[in-house]
Amino acid sequence: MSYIEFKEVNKIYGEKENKIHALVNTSFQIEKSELVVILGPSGAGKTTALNILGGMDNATSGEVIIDGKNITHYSKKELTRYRRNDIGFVFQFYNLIQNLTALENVELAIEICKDHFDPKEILKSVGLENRMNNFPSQLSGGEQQRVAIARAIAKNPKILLADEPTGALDYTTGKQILKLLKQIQQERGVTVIIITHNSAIAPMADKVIKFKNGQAENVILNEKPLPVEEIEW
Amino acid sequence: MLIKESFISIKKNYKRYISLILIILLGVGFYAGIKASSPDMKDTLNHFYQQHNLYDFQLISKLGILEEDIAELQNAGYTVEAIYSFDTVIKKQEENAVKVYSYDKNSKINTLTLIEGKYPQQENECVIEKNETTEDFKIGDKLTVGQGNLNQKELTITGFIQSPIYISQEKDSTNLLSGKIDYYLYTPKENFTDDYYSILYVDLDNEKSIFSKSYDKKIQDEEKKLQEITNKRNTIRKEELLNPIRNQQNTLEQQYNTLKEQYENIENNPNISNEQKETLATTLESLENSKVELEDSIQTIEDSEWYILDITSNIGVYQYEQDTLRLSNIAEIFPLVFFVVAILVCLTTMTRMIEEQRSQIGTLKSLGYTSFTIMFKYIIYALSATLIGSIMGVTIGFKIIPNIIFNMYDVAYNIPDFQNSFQMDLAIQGTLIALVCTLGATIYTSIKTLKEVPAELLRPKAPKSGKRVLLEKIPLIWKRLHFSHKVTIRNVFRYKKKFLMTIIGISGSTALVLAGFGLKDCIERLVPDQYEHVFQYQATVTLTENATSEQKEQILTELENKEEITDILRVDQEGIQIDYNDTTQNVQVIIPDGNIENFIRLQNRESKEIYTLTSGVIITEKIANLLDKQIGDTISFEINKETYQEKITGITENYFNHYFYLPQIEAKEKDNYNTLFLKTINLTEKEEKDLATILKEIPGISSISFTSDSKDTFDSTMKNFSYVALILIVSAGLLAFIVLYNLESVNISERVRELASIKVLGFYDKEVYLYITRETIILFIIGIVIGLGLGNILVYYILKTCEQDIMMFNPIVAWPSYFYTLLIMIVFISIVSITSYFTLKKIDMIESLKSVE
Repeated sequence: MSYIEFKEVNKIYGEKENKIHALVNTSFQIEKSELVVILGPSGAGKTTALNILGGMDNATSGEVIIDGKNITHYSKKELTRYRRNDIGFVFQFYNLIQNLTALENVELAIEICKDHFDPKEILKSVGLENRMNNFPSQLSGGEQQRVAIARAIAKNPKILLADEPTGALDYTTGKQILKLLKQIQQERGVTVIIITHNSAIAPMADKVIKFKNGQAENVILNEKPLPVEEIEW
Repeated sequence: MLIKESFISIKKNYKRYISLILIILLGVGFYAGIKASSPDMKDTLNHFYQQHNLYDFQLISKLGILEEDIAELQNAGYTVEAIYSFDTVIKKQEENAVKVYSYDKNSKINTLTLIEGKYPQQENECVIEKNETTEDFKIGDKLTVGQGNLNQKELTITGFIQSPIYISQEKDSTNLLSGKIDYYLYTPKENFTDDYYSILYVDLDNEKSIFSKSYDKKIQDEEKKLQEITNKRNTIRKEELLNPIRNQQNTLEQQYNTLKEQYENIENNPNISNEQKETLATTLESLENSKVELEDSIQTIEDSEWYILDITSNIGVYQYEQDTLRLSNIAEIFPLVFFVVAILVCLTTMTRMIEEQRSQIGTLKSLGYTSFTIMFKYIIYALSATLIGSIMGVTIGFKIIPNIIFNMYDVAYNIPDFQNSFQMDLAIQGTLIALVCTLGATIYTSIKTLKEVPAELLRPKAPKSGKRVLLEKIPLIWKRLHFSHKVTIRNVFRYKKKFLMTIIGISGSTALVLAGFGLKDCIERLVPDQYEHVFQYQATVTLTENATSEQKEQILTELENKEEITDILRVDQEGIQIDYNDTTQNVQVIIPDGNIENFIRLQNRESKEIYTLTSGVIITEKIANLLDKQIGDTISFEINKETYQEKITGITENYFNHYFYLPQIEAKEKDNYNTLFLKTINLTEKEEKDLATILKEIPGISSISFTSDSKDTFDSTMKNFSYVALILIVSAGLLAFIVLYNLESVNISERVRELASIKVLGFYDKEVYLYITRETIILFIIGIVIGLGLGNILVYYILKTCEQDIMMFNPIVAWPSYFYTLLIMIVFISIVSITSYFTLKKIDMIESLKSVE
């Protein structure tokens, strides 16, 4: 069995006439320590898949199995525990707490989990050893996203979910962030899932899952993923 | 389109809209309601005054009122009515002091209200006041009038009435029994055998309001005219009375002189027997006595004058006026604080709403809408909420608050038909203030936002950068704090505006609640403080002015023999007047002959220093404040035309009336006292009354009064006032609740993104709740501490404006009030906090994925 199994998953929002079928019988698998890119235009269902993978929402039907555990019918509390211990999240707009320094932002996340890394070490590893005591407003976008990544991996999560991590960044900075994600996957063996509409990113992945009309339409395995330096958009 | 857009935004933000309406409703309603209460009460009295054609002047002459006096006044164009009246004792179950008035069915002034039965037709019939004393009296019962000039002394009750002369339970004092009139009765005019009338009422032409300045002026003018007429009449009357007496005096003088001559002639004549001499001497002595008596009565006549009392000296009207005054003083400050808090919250709400819709504003602007068009939506939103809130507020406020207040006062007054009017000026005033504030806030924030170019608006507003707080510079404390507490502290101080608003909101409403309780405390404390703490005696016996030394001796012996009386202090008490600004203050000078310490506590309120009365003068606190005198200053005053210059040796605690305490002056005769203070064992009201009746009989005693009487009277008026305080507490509590609710919901909505993010990070609902609540609690504690302080100041300020010159409130809030205030606030904050738990739970994590809006 794969590390992550999405089996015949349906997600329906709303009721009766206003029903929206966001995911339609979607299935895919992801292996441990893979770097996966989930690709698709907006409205294709990729964000819904992310929500379900990230434990922010339940599937309407089907099965979602993560590391052998079936999370499909988790209660809200169980989902919170799942997010807390197993998931690291990187947002498009970083979502740092403005009122906390870089270091404190990382500390805030590890406050609530037992098995975590040293925040200073982590910040050092993302190249921010000199910016630890700065507030988000004093950091550039790329730096802020690094803090967000540091915050996500400090928890020692099983899966790192990144939602359009380069969406708010310029080309060069975006590339640096992608490089960092790849580095994390390689060095720490974390399963990294990047959700994006930018198909140029796809070549760096071990696996590319293409979404269309609420379904994982196409799964491509890259035998030789390109190093980040070589991809361009 | 714009209007439709406005409605949509109302519908979308309906919770906020409703809370905006509610706050405006409370603020404006309370403002209008409290402010309207005093005018409404005045209207009620004016209405009553007109309905019953209440007198404007009451004229009394010691020499009695004659038909000629009436004619003179009528000639001068006055509408007058004269009545007979006397005080008497009537014994039914027990002896009561009763005021008897003449009833004239054609009377136009002071028309009576028939409560039950019918008016008297025959001379042997009467109607009586319905009150506590006459509760068990029935129509058909017979009353036997004691002393008094009536044809028929046995009167049958035909009905119960209420006289407009007495609008309060309070009635005149009398020399009879315990010194208080128990009830009044009216028997037909024809039943009286007096030669002259006792009271003359003057009714001026219809007056709209007896509280107006024009009425004051009219009263002053008319009083002068009446003074002239009555002076003229008084001189004539005096002559009429004095002429025969002077003749009598002359005759007597002649008789006396002749007899004296005779006596002197025979005095040394041995031929005339001693018996004869003695007879002559006795006659001479009795003639001498008659001479003195005649001189006395001449003096009395010469001294006698007319008393002209206007309606404001009517005891009930006076009290009523004082009550409305106190109320309007409260209405000066309290609603304003209330208003300020409410408006501040509106301001925060509107600001928040506009900031939330930045990008929408940006879109509209980039589409080419003008600033005004965009602003229009928000203006409609604020305007309609304010108008709806104001209209509902004034409607409810005008209806409810004055009615509650009047009903509370009504316990003490017999005025029916509360005149509850919609006061347009107050309604407009309140609405305008609210409009200016909410619209001001809306327009200010919109303009500030609209100034930015569309591109800027479409981008998220640069988040407020984080900052270190002062506390972090003190590593000793900062290092020891738990991480989550550090976060809390930094968040609390992050948004200065919100911090300030919340603190003002919480402290303002806490202050209002505490002020309500505090006022209640201070008011209720006054009576026991004065009559138990300061005055430790139970009764005052006033001696007649001409009581002889022997009589005084006798009185003392009799009092000492009474078992109920445990201690007696001889006192020389003199009333003096002290000028202060434009008014004169009546001060009682007390010169004790004995140890005053057991009877009156002479102690400074603040320093608690206890004074002994040895030299100089000890004065009471309020008069010291009024005159701005300190210990060590010299004060001069006049007692019986004798000037005193005394050094102030103490300023003593006292809450009602003014007193000077002087040590006994050596040179004075030993029995110079005119008053006795008595300490008694615990007596019931009945026992006190019985004791008073017995003591009254002793020659030389003029009156006896118990402090419990003063206590009761005072208590009842103060009780009304403390009900007002209760209204304040309830409405302040409501305000506190809405303020807290609003601030909390603004706080959450402002930080939805942050909260959604920490949810995604895996914070449990409880942890998210604590994250927010910790901040709330800190703000709450700061707000409460400031609020309690402010409340104290508010209590002090309100009391100082409310208190009249003759009284002083001890503006100290009692500990239980702090406790209750805290309790109320904690309950409210808990409710708000619990609702916020559910709001937080509902926050969608998807919010964290959206771009910043």
